[in-house]
Amino acid sequence: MSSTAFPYVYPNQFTPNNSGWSTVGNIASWSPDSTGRRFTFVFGQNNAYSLYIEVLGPTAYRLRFTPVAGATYATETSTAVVHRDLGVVGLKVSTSQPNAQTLLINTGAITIQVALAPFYVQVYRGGQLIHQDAPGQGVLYIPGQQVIAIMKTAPAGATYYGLGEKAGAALQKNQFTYSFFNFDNYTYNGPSEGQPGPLNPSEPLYCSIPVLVENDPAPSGAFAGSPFATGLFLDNCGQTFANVSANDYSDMDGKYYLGGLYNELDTYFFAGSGIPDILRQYTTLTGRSPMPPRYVFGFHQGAYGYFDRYKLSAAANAYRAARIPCDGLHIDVDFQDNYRTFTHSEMKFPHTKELFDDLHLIGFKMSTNITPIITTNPLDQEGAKTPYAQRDALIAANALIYNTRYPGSYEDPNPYLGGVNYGINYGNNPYPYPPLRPNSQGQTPLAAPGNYPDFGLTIARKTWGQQYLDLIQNVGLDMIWQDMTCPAIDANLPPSQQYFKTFPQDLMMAQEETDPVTGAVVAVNYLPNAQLHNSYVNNLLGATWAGINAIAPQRRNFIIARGGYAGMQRYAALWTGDSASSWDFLNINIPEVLNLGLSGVPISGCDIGGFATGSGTTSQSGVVGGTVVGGITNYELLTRWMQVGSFLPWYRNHYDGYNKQFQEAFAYGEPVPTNCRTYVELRYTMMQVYYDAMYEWTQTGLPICRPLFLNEPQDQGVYGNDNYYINSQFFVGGDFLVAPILFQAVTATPPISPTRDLYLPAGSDWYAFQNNEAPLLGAVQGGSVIAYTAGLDLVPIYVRAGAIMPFQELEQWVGQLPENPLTINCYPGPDRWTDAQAYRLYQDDGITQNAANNAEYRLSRIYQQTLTNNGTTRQIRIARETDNYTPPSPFNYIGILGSITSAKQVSRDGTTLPNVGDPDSLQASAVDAWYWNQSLNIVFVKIHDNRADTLVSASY
Amino acid sequence: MQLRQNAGARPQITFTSDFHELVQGDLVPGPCVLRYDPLRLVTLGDAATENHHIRAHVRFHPVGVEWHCLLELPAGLPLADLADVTGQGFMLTTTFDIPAGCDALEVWFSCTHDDGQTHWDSDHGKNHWLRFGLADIAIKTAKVKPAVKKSAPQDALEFEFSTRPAVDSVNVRWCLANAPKAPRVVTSLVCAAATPAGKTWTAPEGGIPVPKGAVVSFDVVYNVEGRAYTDDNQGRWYIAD
Repeated sequence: MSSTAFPYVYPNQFTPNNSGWSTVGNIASWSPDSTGRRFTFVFGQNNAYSLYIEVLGPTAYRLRFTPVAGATYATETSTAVVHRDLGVVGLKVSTSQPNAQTLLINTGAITIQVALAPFYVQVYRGGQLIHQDAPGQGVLYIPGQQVIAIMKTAPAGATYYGLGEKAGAALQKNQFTYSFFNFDNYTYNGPSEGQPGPLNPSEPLYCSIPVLVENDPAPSGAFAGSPFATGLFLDNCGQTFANVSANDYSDMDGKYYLGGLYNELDTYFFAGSGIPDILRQYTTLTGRSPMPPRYVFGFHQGAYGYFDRYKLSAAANAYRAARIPCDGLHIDVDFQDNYRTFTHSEMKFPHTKELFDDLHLIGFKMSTNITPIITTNPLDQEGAKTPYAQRDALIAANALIYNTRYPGSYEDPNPYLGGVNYGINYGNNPYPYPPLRPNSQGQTPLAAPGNYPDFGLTIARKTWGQQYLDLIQNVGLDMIWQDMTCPAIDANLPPSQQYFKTFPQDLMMAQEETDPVTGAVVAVNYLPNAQLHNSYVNNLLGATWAGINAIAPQRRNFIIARGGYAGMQRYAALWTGDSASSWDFLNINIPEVLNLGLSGVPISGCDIGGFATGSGTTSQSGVVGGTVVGGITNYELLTRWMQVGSFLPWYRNHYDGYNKQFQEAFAYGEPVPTNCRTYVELRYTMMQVYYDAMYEWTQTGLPICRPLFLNEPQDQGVYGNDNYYINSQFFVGGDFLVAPILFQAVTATPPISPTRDLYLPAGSDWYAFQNNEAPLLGAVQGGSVIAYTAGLDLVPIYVRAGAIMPFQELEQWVGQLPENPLTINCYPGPDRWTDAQAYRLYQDDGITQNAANNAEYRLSRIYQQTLTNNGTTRQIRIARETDNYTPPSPFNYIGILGSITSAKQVSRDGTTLPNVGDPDSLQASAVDAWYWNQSLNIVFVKIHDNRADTLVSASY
Repeated sequence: MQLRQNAGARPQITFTSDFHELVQGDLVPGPCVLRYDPLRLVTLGDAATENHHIRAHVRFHPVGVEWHCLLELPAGLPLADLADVTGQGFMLTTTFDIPAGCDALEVWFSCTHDDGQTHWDSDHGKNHWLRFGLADIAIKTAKVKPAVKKSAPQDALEFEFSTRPAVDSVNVRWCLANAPKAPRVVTSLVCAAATPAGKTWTAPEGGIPVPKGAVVSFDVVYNVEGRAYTDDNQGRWYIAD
């Protein structure tokens, strides 16, 4: 059987809504297990089939169905799920049968109503229906095959999110159909229903997370009642599908489904009052990472084309010279010795350790590309046959995938041989890649043949992780760029099968079965890649994560990955693959990242400016005199993208330097550097906001960047203008609203005004963000739509009245200033005087494991209120909740915005502070003090960091 | 043992705008993908203003049957728009079946225009002849043999290939991977044996002298019926053991 036995299936070819699928039908018997939380239902011919529903917490359950006779459900194989306890301690699950055909499973918070003849599941919260199978469908399968699906009712008015990673300019998933198959989808031109491209959400991308979040802010009809949200996660690492009421092959009105070609129907259901409840449960189930290094939230620059120390150093020094802050430098496979993964080239990067040491001194953190290929090329960069220690180690561990194919009993003794394509060297890169040689036109196709580790095996993961030793300990690498994760393979297959671009789907690979209680491996299965495909990346990332943490246990490590599967957030952040320089890609950036956040991945972002050339590239590139010339990204597009990226979690400009002359902002003429610098600087001055939002994610699963409805669940206005606002606006944290310009204006033909409508959510007033460079303008009432004109130097931003926003001094890199005081900006507005309303400030050293291992962090709550008893008094209270870390800065500032007059008096804990009159004096003051900046209408108060609970009052 | 790329893989043939003809994969009967860059026959400017009909023609040897196909340019989408300024070309793509018993493909293209003119992409009337190195040549030996005497000034490069009987000559283009400035050398192999089943080709007696410790990479140029074909291991080159 060839690999075509496991064809890629387009979304409209997966058809559980057609006839021919079986339902569960009547239940012959049911029984609880000894925990009283798992209920097994037996059905089918000869009572051979079974499924179970297991309550995982007050508002969560698992429904698991293996569509084969005699399934035992004795082991687990998931690479996504790590915690199935979503609140079972103290949970009392009761059952009742109001009649012979109905079983009620009551968790105290929800009731799972299971009809037994035929099997049909509904979920109630109180008396309110919040979830139900599609009538007559529900669990679907085809006996004798492995296909499975679960068909659900879509309540009227429900909207759907999540399903990361997907293209398309719409945030909502309604009316679309999706395929999940980790795929090297270069410029998003892969297999799709309809015209391919970044606007088409039906394409498979690099990361597959089949979790669907349903939002019901105004339920009606059979679901009428209080607002609610639900989540449904299909844990299946083969090719899977989602259809949310898309009538692409059938009438799906009022329904949605998740389904897969192979494996179990293993679903997890979550319920809650709102989306945060769903995210908390989903990220508990699939895990959260510890706090990443703080530098992760800095700006990063990468290029395929920093192929030697001179190119790299030039970029690094240019960033410092241009005073554009930057933390990360990402070197592609150019860094390697002739494409030997885990190696570096002393030919191209002489004295690499010293080079990295120098770059560290000026603040850069270094990263390089680690792909899962282990080349078979026996030649090093000198053309000599030299040992390749990392390959030898993996071979010694018997860790490579053999070329054994499904089905057959023949076990091929040879490793599977694949290869990777790194494009073409048009003559700009002068270094050798033996035995590759330039053709008569001076062009060298860059590629490497190789083998791949079988990450399904513990020994392979362990051995792989150990291979980072040299790069981390001897070279000084700071973080890992994990690429080609599908893995991407130059498969030489015809276009009809190019979706593979990865392992042949009949290639046999390992999957470990574990004991559900102990986690011990109890068996190893060998299955075709078709059944395991999407899990390969999770095992790769897990191997890398464990390895680098073992090698560098004292510091926080970080992986930026190009792909993933559900649960990948435990190990890595995600960039969204090979984007192209086009306005379409800019437009999908926000929905893509926001939905990844709603899929459990807190840190993601696009290659800013586009990795590849595209319709926003202004000139063809060529090599002139050994240098790439042309391929320039339109300056307006680059500027707008740098601005959008400034507010998204992963902020990296990354491009193909073999086809683009440059893409760094400093390389453009003015005003591009200035306009980009403004927003890179803003990123650095509001670094604490991202850090705090990240901390909140580690506790709750709430993403850093949030769709409007996540912070404004009651405001139906956010869905206005045909969802334009939710597609193009978002929050950083709770109160910082960004509405960037996403279209071509000044370079359009003819030019148009860069004016957009933005929506300010109802229920709050909003201030145009002035970055403490101008006084606040009048507050704008929420519920308003504003036509905002923003030239290339401006991003429309509003801050919620009453917000508390900790900013800090500008740095060129994280940690540049040994002491970096906060300025806690307090916007006028409603009080935030309760614990729930207070801003949570998280501080630690940002780089070591001391916070994770020894709880060496400080968590504070910042409150503010306005009293109007006798004049007006603005009060700010800072109270430490956890106090095991002392930030280096001995003092901080409080900015009381909206102080249109000077305060009459400012006191701290009852002691009147001196008014020093000007900023220089305030900075120089050795004691707590204040002054009023008349031009900004801000009272700045300097307070020393010497009290666990302190109250600052400014009277007017 | 030589690692040969894409052995057993489905074939695909690509005609690029810079007039390269790339044969990838193995000679496996059945579907073969054909990609053709229309810029070989149509200029960007013409494509925006005229209708063109490009046809692919394939003759299978020695079977003798032919296959013809119209490669439609997308309607309403001028080529000038598809082949954008960034140099990302646009490939016309189709699939044909290679019949069993075929060992060579003769391919040519024609393009008719609105004015009735026809232009040809036929290698100046000779047509493009394509073969698959994976099917024509088996590399039994390719190694640098150390000299027996340590004092000997040179090692020896040895080859042994077996080929289809139709192969008339075999040349190895080799170079020293660990001495990249050394010129590439072409050495003709000697036909050591010929039977109806095939031929055996070896390096000249005593091997090809190479410097001690040489690492040799090479590709193969072979002739069938007076036409030269190249096997460069699908762009990866071969490396002598």
